[in-house]
Amino acid sequence: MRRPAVLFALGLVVLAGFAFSLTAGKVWVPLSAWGSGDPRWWIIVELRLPRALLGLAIGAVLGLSGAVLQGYLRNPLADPALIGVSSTAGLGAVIAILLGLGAPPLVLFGSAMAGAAAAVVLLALLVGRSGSALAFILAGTVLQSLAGSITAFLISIAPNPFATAEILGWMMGALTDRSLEDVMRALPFMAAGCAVLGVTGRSLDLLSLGEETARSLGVRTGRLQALIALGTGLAVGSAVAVSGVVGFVGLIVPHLVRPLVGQRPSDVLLPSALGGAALVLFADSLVRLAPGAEEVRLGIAMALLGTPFFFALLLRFRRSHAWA
Amino acid sequence: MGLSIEGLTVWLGKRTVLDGITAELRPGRVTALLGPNGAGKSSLLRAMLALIAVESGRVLLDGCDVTALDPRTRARWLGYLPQSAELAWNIPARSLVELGRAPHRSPFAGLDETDRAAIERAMALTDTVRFADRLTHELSGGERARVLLARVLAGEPDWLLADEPLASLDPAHQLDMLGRLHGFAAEGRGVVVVLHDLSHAARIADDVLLLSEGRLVAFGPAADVLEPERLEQVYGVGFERVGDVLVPTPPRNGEGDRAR
Repeated sequence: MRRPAVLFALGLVVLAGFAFSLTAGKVWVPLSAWGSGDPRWWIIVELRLPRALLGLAIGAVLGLSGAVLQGYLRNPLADPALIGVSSTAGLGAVIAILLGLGAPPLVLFGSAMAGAAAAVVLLALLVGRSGSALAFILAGTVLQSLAGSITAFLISIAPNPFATAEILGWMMGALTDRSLEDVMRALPFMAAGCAVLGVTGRSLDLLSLGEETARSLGVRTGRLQALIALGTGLAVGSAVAVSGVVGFVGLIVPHLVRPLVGQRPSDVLLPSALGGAALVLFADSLVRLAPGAEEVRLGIAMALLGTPFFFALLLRFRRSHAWA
Repeated sequence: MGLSIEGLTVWLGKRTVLDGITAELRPGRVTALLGPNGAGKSSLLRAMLALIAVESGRVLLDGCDVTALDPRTRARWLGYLPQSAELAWNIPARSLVELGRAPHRSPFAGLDETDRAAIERAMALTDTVRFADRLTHELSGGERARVLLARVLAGEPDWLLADEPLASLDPAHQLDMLGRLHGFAAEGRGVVVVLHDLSHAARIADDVLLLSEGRLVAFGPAADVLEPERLEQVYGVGFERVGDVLVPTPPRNGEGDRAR
């Protein structure tokens, strides 16, 4: 399929997902009820619109950053979580929850963003000016496990079961009960992060020839690494700050779009953002539709759906020797 | 433009891999970098490209220190054909050749007419037009080597620096590659090529830069440098001329340990 056609089709899927997210749920709001006259309209404005916007933004952010990181590390298994930003942002939020239960959302958000910023600074310090992708991934893995173990420690010393429950619930990632203000707080950071990540396309293409060859073609690998750390920190950090950790999107989506648009890293970026948005919008709507009083958390649903899906993908790739 | 190496010393960790190399390379000629494994050939090539840090001395391109050049300018002047044919993603051959135009394009511009013409010319020169739309992972070793050469040629560099471009090619493709390098030099541009096979060097090189353990043994016209006695000292094995081919012979008196 030609690229404009793919982008157009993906755009339509995102629109459909957005409309579905507004319509679907325990209470269906058919198109005929859209308008200020119907009481169900308020469900859309107050509950579903922020949620759909958030799903759209978070999906796009995770899809894009996954595509950038896979291109940068030249590794199809890379994921935004790999460089530790999600974990440190999560740790920041956990600290905020522990220090003051019922803290205002602004404090929680700021604390998580501070965690993400700490990851970006530590990455820069650990990797230095080498610009080496291997050092980057090792530093990220160290940050990820460090933040993970501190988080586990904090949960173990939580003063009461309510705090533990709140932390665990938050960490699993969900789009429920976010207000339009929450969304608007995160959106500028996500947009800035995406803008930073979006300029890396050409350098990612050159990196497919290897680091030294890319440098011989004029790529400044140190600066590229700084851009990727900053962009991921802003985009994924703010995504985690507003919705908790939602995994697998960044890992899966680039694989879904590559058969449609080819493997050149710069060609995968925009389709991955659209694909991520569509995936999260539909997954979040389905989570809402699942029977039962309590919703399945989006983060859990993504992992449950994502793991077998990814396994199937892996088997197919192995058979076609695409990664041989 | 001339490429001169002035007193170049390079350390990797605590090991001196290049020790005070001085040579004036001339465009329009093929210069072969020769020497046993570990002599510092690849390091010299990478230092000329400013890919590794230099301890002292410098490499001058048209009078400018290569480490002081803007990376994109340097990339327009020096084309690098590395030894490893790393291709992380399976993209069409033409897309790969396009990458060679990067130093000439502004960050967000598409390909312009000049770019397209250079790409077509590079692919025609390397005889790769036939499989321009095929995916690189599906090409044979010889086809892939030509596509990678086309990638460098598309950048229209003044100097082509190739690190063992013949490794993993069969004899027919080796001769083909040597011919293409020679053709590049015949256009008045410079070629520096790391080679292992001395017969290939004797066949293609105008000049030879012979290294041993990081030091310059000899630099000059190939016929002068490729003396069997000198080669025996450097490589630790004897050489005999059979026609125009230099054939290694077993070492005498067990003096072969230097070849490791």
